[in-house]
Amino acid sequence: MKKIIIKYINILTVWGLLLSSAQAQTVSKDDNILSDSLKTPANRWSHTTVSADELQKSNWMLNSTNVYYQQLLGITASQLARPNAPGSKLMARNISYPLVIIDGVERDIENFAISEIENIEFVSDATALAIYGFKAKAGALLITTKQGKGGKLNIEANYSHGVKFAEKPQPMVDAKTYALGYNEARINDGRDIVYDQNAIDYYQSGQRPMVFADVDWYDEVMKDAAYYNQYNVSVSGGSKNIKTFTSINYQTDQGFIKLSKPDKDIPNQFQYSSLKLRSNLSARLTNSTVFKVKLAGRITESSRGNDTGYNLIKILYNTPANAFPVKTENGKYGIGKKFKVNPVAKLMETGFYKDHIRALTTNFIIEQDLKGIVPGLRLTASLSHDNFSRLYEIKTKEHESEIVTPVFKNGELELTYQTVGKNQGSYNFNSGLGWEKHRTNGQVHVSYAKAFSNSSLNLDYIGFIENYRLKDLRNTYNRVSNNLIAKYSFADKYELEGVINLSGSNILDPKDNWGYMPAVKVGWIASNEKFFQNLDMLNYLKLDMSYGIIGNDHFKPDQYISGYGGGGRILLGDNATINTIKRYNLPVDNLAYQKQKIFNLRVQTQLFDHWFATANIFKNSSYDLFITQQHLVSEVLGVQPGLANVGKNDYKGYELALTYQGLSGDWKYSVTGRFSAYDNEIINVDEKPWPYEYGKRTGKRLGQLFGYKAIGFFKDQNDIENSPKQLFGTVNPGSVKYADIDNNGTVDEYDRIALGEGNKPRCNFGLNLSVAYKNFSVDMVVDGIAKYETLMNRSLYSINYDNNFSQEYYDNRWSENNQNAKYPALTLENNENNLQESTLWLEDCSFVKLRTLRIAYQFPKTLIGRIKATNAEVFLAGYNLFSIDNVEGDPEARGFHYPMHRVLSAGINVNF
Amino acid sequence: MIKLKRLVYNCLLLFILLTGYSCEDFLSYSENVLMTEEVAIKHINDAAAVGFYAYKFIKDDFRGGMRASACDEAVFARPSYIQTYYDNSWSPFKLIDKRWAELYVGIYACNNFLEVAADLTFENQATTQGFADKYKNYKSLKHEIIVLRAYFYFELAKRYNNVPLVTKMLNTDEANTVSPTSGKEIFKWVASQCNKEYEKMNEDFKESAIYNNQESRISKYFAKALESRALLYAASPLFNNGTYDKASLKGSAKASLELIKAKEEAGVDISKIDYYNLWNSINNTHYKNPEILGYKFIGKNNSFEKENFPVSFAGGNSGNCPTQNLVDAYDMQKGKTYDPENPYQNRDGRLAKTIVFNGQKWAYNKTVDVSYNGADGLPLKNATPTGYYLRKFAMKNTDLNAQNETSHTKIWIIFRLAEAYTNYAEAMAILYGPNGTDGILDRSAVESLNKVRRRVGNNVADIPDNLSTDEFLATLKKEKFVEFAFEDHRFWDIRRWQIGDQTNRIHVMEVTKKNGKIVYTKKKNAFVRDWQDKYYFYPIAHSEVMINKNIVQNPGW
Repeated sequence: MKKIIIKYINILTVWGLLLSSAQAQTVSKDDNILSDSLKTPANRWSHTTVSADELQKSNWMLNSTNVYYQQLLGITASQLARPNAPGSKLMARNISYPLVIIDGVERDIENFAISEIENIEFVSDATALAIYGFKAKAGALLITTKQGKGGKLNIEANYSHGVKFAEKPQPMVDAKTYALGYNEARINDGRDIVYDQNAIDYYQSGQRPMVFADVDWYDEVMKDAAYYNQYNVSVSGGSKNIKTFTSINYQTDQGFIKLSKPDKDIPNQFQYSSLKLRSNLSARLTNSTVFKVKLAGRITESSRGNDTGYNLIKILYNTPANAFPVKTENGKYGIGKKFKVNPVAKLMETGFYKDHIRALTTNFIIEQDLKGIVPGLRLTASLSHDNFSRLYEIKTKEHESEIVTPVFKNGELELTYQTVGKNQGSYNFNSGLGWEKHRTNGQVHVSYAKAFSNSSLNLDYIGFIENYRLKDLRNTYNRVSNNLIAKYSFADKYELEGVINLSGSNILDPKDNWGYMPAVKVGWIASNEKFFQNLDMLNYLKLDMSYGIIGNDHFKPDQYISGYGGGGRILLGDNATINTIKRYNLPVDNLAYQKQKIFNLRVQTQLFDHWFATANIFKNSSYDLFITQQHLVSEVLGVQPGLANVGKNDYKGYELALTYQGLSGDWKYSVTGRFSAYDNEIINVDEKPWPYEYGKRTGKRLGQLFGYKAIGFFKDQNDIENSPKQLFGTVNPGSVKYADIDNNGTVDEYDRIALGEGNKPRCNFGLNLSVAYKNFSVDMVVDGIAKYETLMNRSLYSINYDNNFSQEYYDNRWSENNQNAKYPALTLENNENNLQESTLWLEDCSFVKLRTLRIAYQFPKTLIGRIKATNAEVFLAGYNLFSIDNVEGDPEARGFHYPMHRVLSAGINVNF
Repeated sequence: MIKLKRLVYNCLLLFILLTGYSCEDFLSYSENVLMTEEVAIKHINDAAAVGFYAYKFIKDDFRGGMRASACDEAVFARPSYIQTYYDNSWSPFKLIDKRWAELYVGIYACNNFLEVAADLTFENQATTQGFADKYKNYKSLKHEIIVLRAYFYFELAKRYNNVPLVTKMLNTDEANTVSPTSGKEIFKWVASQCNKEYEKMNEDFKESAIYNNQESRISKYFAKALESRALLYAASPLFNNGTYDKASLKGSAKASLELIKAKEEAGVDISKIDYYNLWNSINNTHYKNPEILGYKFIGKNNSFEKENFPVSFAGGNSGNCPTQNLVDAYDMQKGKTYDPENPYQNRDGRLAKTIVFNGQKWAYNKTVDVSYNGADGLPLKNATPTGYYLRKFAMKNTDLNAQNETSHTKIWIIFRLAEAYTNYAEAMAILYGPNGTDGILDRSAVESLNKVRRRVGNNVADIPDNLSTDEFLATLKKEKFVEFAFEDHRFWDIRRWQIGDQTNRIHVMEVTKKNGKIVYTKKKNAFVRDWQDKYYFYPIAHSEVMINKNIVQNPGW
């Protein structure tokens, strides 16, 4: 049925093209095929778009996701702590990642430099999202790259140099404290001490450090500061009929490793260098035809020692100060019996890992004005092909280490040495394809615009066809999408827009792989009404409301197939191994695409000339979600029941932005305050029947943490005996005591309650401030979140399996003299009891951060005219400068992580 | 300049190409790697593979804590999940294992095979070389799977009593609403399935040309032994509201005798087979032992020794430590009396083979010392709490030293001939008394049980024929305790005989050295375990009871 409709639409449009004829009409220019129809008068402040002038202010940042996205109402960004030009994680309304569309095609923004971007817009109305068919998400970022201007050549050169300061690590205990703590744990467990006074004296005195090691591993390996450089040259220009924009961007970034390179060809530092090239050309071929080409390429090389940032930091924290010396007295690298990785040796001796990214994105577009056939009719066709590949090379080798064991015999120190491993002369080399992505996308856009005396009508047909292929099997996504869009605007006051999308995908069952997504939007520009015209204070007031159903197929292919596959082998006798075949799962009944019903109400207003406000309220009901049915089907079935489209989640929230913009003599200023609050609820999820409400996932927020309620520590054996049984492991005085919520005498999984507020912050807020005076300007962004809790990194707060522990833990641990402690007693037995997820380990991650501060000075035109420059600016900027929060370390990076950075950058922008 | 018309035509072409082209193939693109059913059963090897998958769900009890440590057979030396059986934390929320789910997966695999892959003819492969043998191999599988499915239901019913009896593949709605069948009816069904298949099944799988060494597959004797055991369970008062079901007892006795006679005619005499041959891996004595009727082949493995070697032995972790309760069940040899200073002298030969006691030479040619402060005794962490270590199933010459680790092939015994004799004796004693016979049931209970006693190496006296029925049954229970120690019989027999409250007090042997002499002191009631009558059946998982309203939780849970 749906296929017939499509064929009908196709025929209709072709017929329209061939048979009708009318006058021409000038056409509006828009490179981005899908754009918003909101009229934006010159000085209107938009809270959902940001343009090149604003983006220019962050051109000293290395990663394009670090642009001031917080300016876009509805987008929240949280900084990631990683080596190599780390970016931010972007969320649309705290629901999911946004759909990122660059020049009309879904692309990865990290492949592009900030200087290439002309315009970024965030859309969240169902009418704007439905157009993307099965790719739709809860919000979309529409990005356009620079087209350039025709005419005289304009060259822009930028250079910035930044220094990054590493986050300070959490202090871990020194060797003496470790030994004392270890002994204390043994005594708590009813066993003998391990470190005798002789050993402790040596740690205290610091004599023979290559036998009685006391190494601050973090300090041995990591340094406080590193630098980066960024060079950018953009050229734009052309002639009457040709516009071009070309840019070259080159970045290098160094990491925080302190050690020198073992060899100039063997990197052990986190190093990154990236080259991004772009060339956009727009040529008017006839007075009704424009041909555009956009080409961009990226080459990136990153290298590091043989450990990822995460793994390296984990080893640095987890290796106790006394585990082994960096080098023994014999000059060999130290190693332990229990701790088998020497981080210094790992970075100096074991080789490296290099990563090469090659990416190419292309767009070929023809815009044909068909005014010769029907006035107001335009056709745009475009073809694009994107390629991305990541190749890796690894060199590894072994090295020799030595274990030194000190033993005291009759007060005399005796050392035994044991060699481990051997020195390998040459490296083993390995290389391969890490990842690849290919996307081919064809689009057709036919639009018809007709103006009447008091109204206007726009009709559009937009069709996409796309093939998206990733590495490995079963990673190919073929999609087709057809859109019919109608916009009617009356008396400059009323707007009505309707969208119907018809999409097909190969992810769905071939018997039923089409879906249709309708959306509608009404707008009312109230300020144009007669009764509002007399209100001087009210410059502009618009209300709009949109509602629609968008769909997506974001799950793995082949879910509609139920098949047989290998069941593993079985031994039925001596040397009698047999293959078995089993049924994998039952097929999914009626595989359907996932849907979201989105309702959005928006008010935009300008008051007293200087005040601009935007307010949104939305509700997003996601249903037909593809979830497992593990707990909804009886085990008597005997086979995996397969997933089903029965999941349901609800999201809602409101967003406010208020700006004051003013001019006063030589002063120009604007202040924007932003606030968003989000909430969500799980309506239906795969969960086993739970006896009590408090333990159920259903009805709570997504990503809700569950854990026990910690009510203190056991005082003594008596206390343990008279309390409900805790069966996680050994329980001693000083172990954590949990509440028996269901009063059944034992603490087990049915006593778990909801902890924290879900896996996304409930509130995001911020303040942007811009002040300019004569040639100086200051821009500041403050960002914050509230109502967000996570669990602490518990491995720093226990001596689990001999691991290292933090000074904070040692200073606040339970002991018989310190019963009102923050943390449980030291113990070496299996720490299962103390490390359970519970209220004890919950921490509040809310913060207010001075995200960015930039001070710039523009040289007077007369001065720079001498070097034929049209504009020159020097600036000093900082990122992630200051944070008010409740946790040790950075509130945005919890658990083991590569150090978070604070950046100070200086740079210069010159235009010729 | 490019002409407008030509440009328009080019655009139209592109337009039509993009949207008018048939999207059928494009949108049904798939890289599926799973086989459809048609493909899965096309080739005879694959069709058989569908059936063999069910074999994966036969489980042995060689895990860390054996079920022996959950009853009066043994005490596990370290904290273990096995304690859940008796520390009052067992509940429908905290299950002991996932057997309910796993057995139903096994049953589904059987149903799947029987429904779609069991009766195929493979005409298009009939002329390939070696097809005749392959086909024989395949044909046998159907009967094995029927009996295997029955075995799975036996395992379900003995744990959970009333369970759904599912003999075809269900869909999700049916699975959520199916009604359970009573345990007794299931046992009777199991027996009838075995009975029907018996004549059609193989005696053994030794013919290597056809069976390629797959000797552990299910033979007719497995079926008959399962029938004998299932009917005995069907007759038990535990499944009959307190009385014995005589018809089932008769059926069990008949099946046991049929099995005994078939094996005796084949020349198998258990009194001539050494007890050690049940697990002796040298020259594969164990699975070549004609007494063994059904087993799971495990292959080379030394984790059992790693688990159960005494604590001071290289690689040893004490594991399952036999109790004094078990040791007391071993009789004295003919004409000898008990010497408290040498308690292990002149005992039933099976004692020294099953249990490592103080002063015995064991692996590494090392002598075990369980005395207080001895190398293997308390207060050493993880030393035996009972004074004994497990010997049965462990191979003495296993070396667990890191550089020279060795391992031996293991098998887990499911059915063996000795059980046919004890089952027969039990049924006959309840029906006709220790010495009674009836028609084709032409042996007495005493005669049958003595056959087991007379095994070479035991050297114990026969059971006299002047015992009352109750006395005989007590002797039979003791004999089973001894003969089938650590073979996962005792745990279930305690339930079947409803003696749970009589077997929850564990006795141990305390060994101390006083003035150079070794002193043996029996300590009674060293461990008293929780026993409640609800323990006779496993709890059904709470989620199962909630999802399917027809499933009723077992009483007390």
